[in-house]
Amino acid sequence: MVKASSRQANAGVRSRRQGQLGQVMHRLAKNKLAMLGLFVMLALIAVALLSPWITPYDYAATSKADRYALPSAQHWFGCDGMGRDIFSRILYGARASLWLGLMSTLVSTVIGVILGSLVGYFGGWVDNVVMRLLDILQAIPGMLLSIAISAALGSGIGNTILALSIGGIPMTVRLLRGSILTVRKQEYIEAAEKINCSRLRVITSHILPNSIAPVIVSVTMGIGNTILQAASLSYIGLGVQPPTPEWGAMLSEGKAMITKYPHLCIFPGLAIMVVVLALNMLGDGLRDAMDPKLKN
Amino acid sequence: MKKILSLVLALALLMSCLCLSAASAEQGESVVVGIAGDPGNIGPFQGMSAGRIGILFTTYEFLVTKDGDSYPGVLMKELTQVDDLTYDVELYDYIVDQAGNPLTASDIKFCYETAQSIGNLPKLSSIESIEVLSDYVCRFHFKELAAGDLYSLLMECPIVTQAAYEASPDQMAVDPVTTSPYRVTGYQTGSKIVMEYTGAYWQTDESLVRTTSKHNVNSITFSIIPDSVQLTNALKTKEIDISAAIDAAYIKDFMDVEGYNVTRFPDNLTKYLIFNNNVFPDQRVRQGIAYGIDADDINLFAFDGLAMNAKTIGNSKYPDYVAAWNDEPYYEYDADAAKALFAEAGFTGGTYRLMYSVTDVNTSIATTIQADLMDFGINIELVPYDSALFNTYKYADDSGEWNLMLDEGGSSSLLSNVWKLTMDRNDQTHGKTIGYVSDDTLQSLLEAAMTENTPENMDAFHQYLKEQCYEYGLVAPVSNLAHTTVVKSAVTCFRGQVLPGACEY
Amino acid sequence: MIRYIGKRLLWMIPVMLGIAILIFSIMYICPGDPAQSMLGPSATAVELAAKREELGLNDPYIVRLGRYLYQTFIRFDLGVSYKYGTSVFEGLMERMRYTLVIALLCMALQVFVGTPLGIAAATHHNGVADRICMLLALVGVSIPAFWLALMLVLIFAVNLNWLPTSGVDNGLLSFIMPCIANSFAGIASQARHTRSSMLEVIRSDYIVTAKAKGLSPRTVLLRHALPNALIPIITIIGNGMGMMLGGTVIIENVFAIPGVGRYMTDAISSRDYPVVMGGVLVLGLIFSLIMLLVDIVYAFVDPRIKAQYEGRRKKKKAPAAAAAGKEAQHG
Repeated sequence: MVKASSRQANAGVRSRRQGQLGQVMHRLAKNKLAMLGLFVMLALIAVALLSPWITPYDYAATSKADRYALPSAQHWFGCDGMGRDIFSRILYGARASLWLGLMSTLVSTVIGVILGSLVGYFGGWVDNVVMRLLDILQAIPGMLLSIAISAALGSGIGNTILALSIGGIPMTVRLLRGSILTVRKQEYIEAAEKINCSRLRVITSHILPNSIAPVIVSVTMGIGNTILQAASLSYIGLGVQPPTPEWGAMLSEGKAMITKYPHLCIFPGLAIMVVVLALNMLGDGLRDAMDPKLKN
Repeated sequence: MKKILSLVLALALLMSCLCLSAASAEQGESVVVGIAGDPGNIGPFQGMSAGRIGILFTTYEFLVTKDGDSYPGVLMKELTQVDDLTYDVELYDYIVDQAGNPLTASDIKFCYETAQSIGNLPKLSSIESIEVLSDYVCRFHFKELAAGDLYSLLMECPIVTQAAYEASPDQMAVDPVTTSPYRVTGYQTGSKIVMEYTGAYWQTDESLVRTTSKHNVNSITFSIIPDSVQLTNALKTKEIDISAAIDAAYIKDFMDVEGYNVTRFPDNLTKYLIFNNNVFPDQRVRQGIAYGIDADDINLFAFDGLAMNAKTIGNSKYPDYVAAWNDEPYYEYDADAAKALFAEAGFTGGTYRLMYSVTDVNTSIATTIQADLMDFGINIELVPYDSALFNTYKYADDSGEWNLMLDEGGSSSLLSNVWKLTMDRNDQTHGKTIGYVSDDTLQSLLEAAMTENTPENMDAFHQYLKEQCYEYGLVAPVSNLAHTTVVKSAVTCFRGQVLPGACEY
Repeated sequence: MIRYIGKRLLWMIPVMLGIAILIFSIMYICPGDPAQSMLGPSATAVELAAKREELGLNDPYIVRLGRYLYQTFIRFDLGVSYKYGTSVFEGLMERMRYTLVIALLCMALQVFVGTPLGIAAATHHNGVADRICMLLALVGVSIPAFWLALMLVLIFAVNLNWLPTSGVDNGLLSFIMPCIANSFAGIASQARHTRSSMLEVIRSDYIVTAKAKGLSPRTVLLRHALPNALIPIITIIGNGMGMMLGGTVIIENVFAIPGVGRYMTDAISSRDYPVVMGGVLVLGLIFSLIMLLVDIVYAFVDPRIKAQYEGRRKKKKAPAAAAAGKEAQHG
C-alpha cells in the first residue's frame, strides 16, 4: 500500500476506494430488501417533487359535503374533517415530511461530520473541548430540547428542521470520531502525512472515505427517525403549520376521530411507516454491504 | 433468563390482581370528575389557570357566589352600600373552617390583603383598603367600580382563616383548610385530587346553602387527563363519571347513547377576529373580510356544527345582552357583498398574518378562515403561538407580528366587561385598543355601556362596533357537559365547571 | 480506575455549568412573558411590570445568569416554580418516580424481549425466524409512539375493557400500555442490534474453533457467543435509560402520567423558567451519571478496555465504544 510517490499513493487509495465502493454497490444490488427500500424512496421523492401536478384535488380545498368521506373511487383515501382529499394531502405531504427528514438529517450530519473529523483527527485538547460541549448538548433530552427550541423560535418548517437537527449532532460526531480513531493509526494515513499532504487533504481524501461508513448507515435510519420525531412534535402542537400537509400533523389531527373515522389516521400512519421501513431496509442493506464479515 | 421472565410475569399478575381488588372495593357514594388541566398549587391566592378553575368552587368558599343573574352571599350575610365606592360586608357569625377556627372580619381583611400583595389576582388592585369595623363586619373602600365589578370583586378572592393559613407550612399548596364542605384529602400532582365531605358543614340553615356549597356526595375525585381523546375514552369506559371538558368533536359519542346524558349550555368564551387597524384602516375592507368568512364553516369544521354563530363579541348568557341582536343580520357569509366591498375600496388581496394561540380548535378555525379567504385572493399565513407568546404579542406595540388575530374572551359578570377586554384603550400601554384603534366615539360609547349598561347604551356600542367592524364575533362555543347515568342531574357553576357536590345522584 | 472515575466526576462540573448556561440562554432568548402567563389576560401593564420586577426579569442577561448560577451551584437551590409557587426540586422528585418506573419497565421490556428476539434471529440467520423478527423490528421502529398508544387504548381499554385508559391509580396495570407503546421501538432496535452483534461474534475465529472442537451448538451459543455479543448491549441499555428519562413526554401526555416530561413541557409553554432550568439540570446530571456508570460497567465486563484504563490511563476507547452503541440505539 505504501508507495514512493504521492501520485501513486493517491492513485492507489483511489482505486482501492473505488473498488471498495464498487463492491459495496455490488453487494447492495444483490440485497433485494435494500433495493426495494431504495426504489420506494426514489419513488417517494419523485412523488414529492411532482406532487403539485399529480394530486387529483387541491390539498387545501375544503368541502362541507365531503366531510369524513370514506375511501371511495373519487377519494381513494377518503376525506378529513374539513372535506379535504386525504390522498392528495398525503402526496403533497410527502414534500414537507421528506424535506423535514432529509434536511434535519443533512444539517446534523454536515455539522457532525465537520466536528467529528476535526475531533477525531486532531485529538488532544480539541477533542476534549468539543466532546465536553457535546456532552452538554447530549445531556439535555432531545425531545425537550426540540420543544424548547421550537418555543424560542416559533413553529414553521425551517425552525422545526433546526430544532430537530441540533439534537442529532452529538451522535454523528461520536460515531465518526470512534471510527476515525481506528483509521487514524493505519499505515496509509501515516504515509500520506509523511509525504506532506495538507491536513485538509488527509482528512477529506484519506480519513473520511475510510471511516464514513457507519455515518452513512446512521443517516439513512436517522431520516426515518426524524420524521417520527416531527410527528411527535406536531402531537403537542409544534411543527409544520397548516394548510401545508405534513404526515405527522395529519396523524395528530386525525387522532380526534380515531374511533369513528379511522381512515384519517391510518393513511398518514401508513405513509410514515412506508418511508421509515424503506429507509431502514436500505440502511440495513448498506450496513451489511459495507461490512463484508456479515455477508456470506 | 426464562426463569427470571416467568418470575417477573407472575409478580406482575399478582400485583395486578391486588390492585384490581383494591380498586373494586372503592365504590359507593363517590364521583370522579374528569378535568383537563392540573391546578399545580391548590393554595388560595394563586393565579387562575385552566386546571384551577375546575376545582376552585369545590375547594373554597367566597363572600358571594353567582347563581343565574343574582349574587347570593355565601360567607356574607348582608351587603350595605355606604357610598359609591364604600360597602360594608357583614359575615355570618357562626362560620368555622375545617380545622375549627372561627372566621371573622379580620380574616377577610387578611385574605384580600395577602392576595393583593402576592399579586396573582390582578383584579383586586381596584380595592383601596379594607377596614375591620367589628368582629363580623368589614368595610371595603374601592378605588373605582365599573358596572358588575362589585360582585366580581367579592367573588375574586378565596377566603380562609388567617390561623389556618399561617399554620400551613406551604401556604396551603397541597392541603388547604377552608370553609367548604369538602376537604382535600389527597393531591397527586398531575394526576388527581381527592376531596371528602367533612361531615359537618358550618352552614346549618339548609335554605342558605348555596349551589356552590352543596354536598350531595361523600367523596369527589378530580382526575386530570390532558389528552382530549383520552378524556373521552375515560368517560366511555366509565372511569370518570362526569366531565365538562369533552371536546365538541367527541360529544356526539355520548348524545342519545344509553347510559349517558349530555347537557349543553353557552360557553363562557366567545371566539372573535380582531383586525389590525394599521393594516386594515379601511372599514370596507374589514367588512368585506367579515362577509367573506363563513361562520357556518367554522362551526361545522371546528365544532362539528354544535356551536352557535356569534351575534356580537360575546354570547347571550350575559344579563346585559340585548335579545334583539339575535334577529339582526351579523356578517352572514355573502361572497357578493364581500367582492363588492373590496372592489369599492380598491382592495385586491395580498398576504396577511393571522395570529392565534395554538389549540386543536383554534387551528381548525384558522384553517377554515384561510380556506374561505383564499377565494378572494387573500392569502392567509397562519401564525400560531403558545399562550405565553400569543399574549406577549397581543398586548405589545404593533411590530407587524400579526395582521389579523383570532382571540377569545369572556367575563364572569357582564357583556360590557367582555368588550372592555380588547376595546378599552385606557387599559393598554400603547393607549389604543388591542387592534390599535384610537376612536373617541368607540371609547365614549364603551364607557357609557360600562357605567350604565342599559339596553340603549349596550345597543349603541354594539351597532357602532358592527358598523366599524374593528373586530367581530365568529362563533360562540357551547359547553358540553357529559356524564354517565350515575349522575342523575348535573350542575355547573357560572364558569361552566362541574359542581360535583351540587349534582344529584 | 478510581482516578479515571474521579476525573470523569470532576469533568461533570463544567458540563453541568455548561448545561445551566445553555438552557438559561435558550429560555432567555425565548420570547414570551412569564408575568403575563402568571397573571392572565386581565392584568394591566402596571401590574405586569411590577410582577416582572418582582421576578427579577428586568435585569440584564449577565446579572440574571450570575444570580441563577449562584443560586444553583453555590446554594444548591433550584428555586420556586413561577406557576405553582412550590419548590422545583420537590416537584421534580415527586414526578421523577413515575418517569423512573416507566423508564425501568421499558428498559426491562426492551432487554427481556428484544434480546431473545435478536438471538433467535441471529441463530437462524436468513431463516424464517430471522425474517419475521426483522420485519417486526422494522415495523416497530416506524410507528409513532402516540399513535400506537391511542390504538392500544382503543383495543384494550375501550373495546375489551381490560386495562384502564389512563392515570396511575391501578398499580402495574396502569403502566402496561404506556410501557408497551413507549418501548416498542426500543425492543425493535434492541433486537436488531443483538442480531448484528451476535452475527459478528458467531463468525469470529474463536467460535469457529469452539465448534471445530466439537462442542454442542448450545454450549457454543450460551457459553462463548452470548457473553461476548452482550458487551455492546450494555451501552445500549445505559443509553436507552438516559434517553428514556427525557423521552417519555409524549407517552406521559397521552396516558395522563404525572412525570417529569409533562412537568417540563407545561413549564416551557408557560415560561416557568425555574422548572425548565431545574428539570434540565437534574435530568442532565442523571444522564451523565448513567453514562459514567455504563463506562465503568463496560470496563469491568470487557477486560480489553479495563486493561486500557490501567495501562495508559487513556479514556478514549470507552466513550468511542459508547458512541457506537448510541448509534445502534437510534438505528
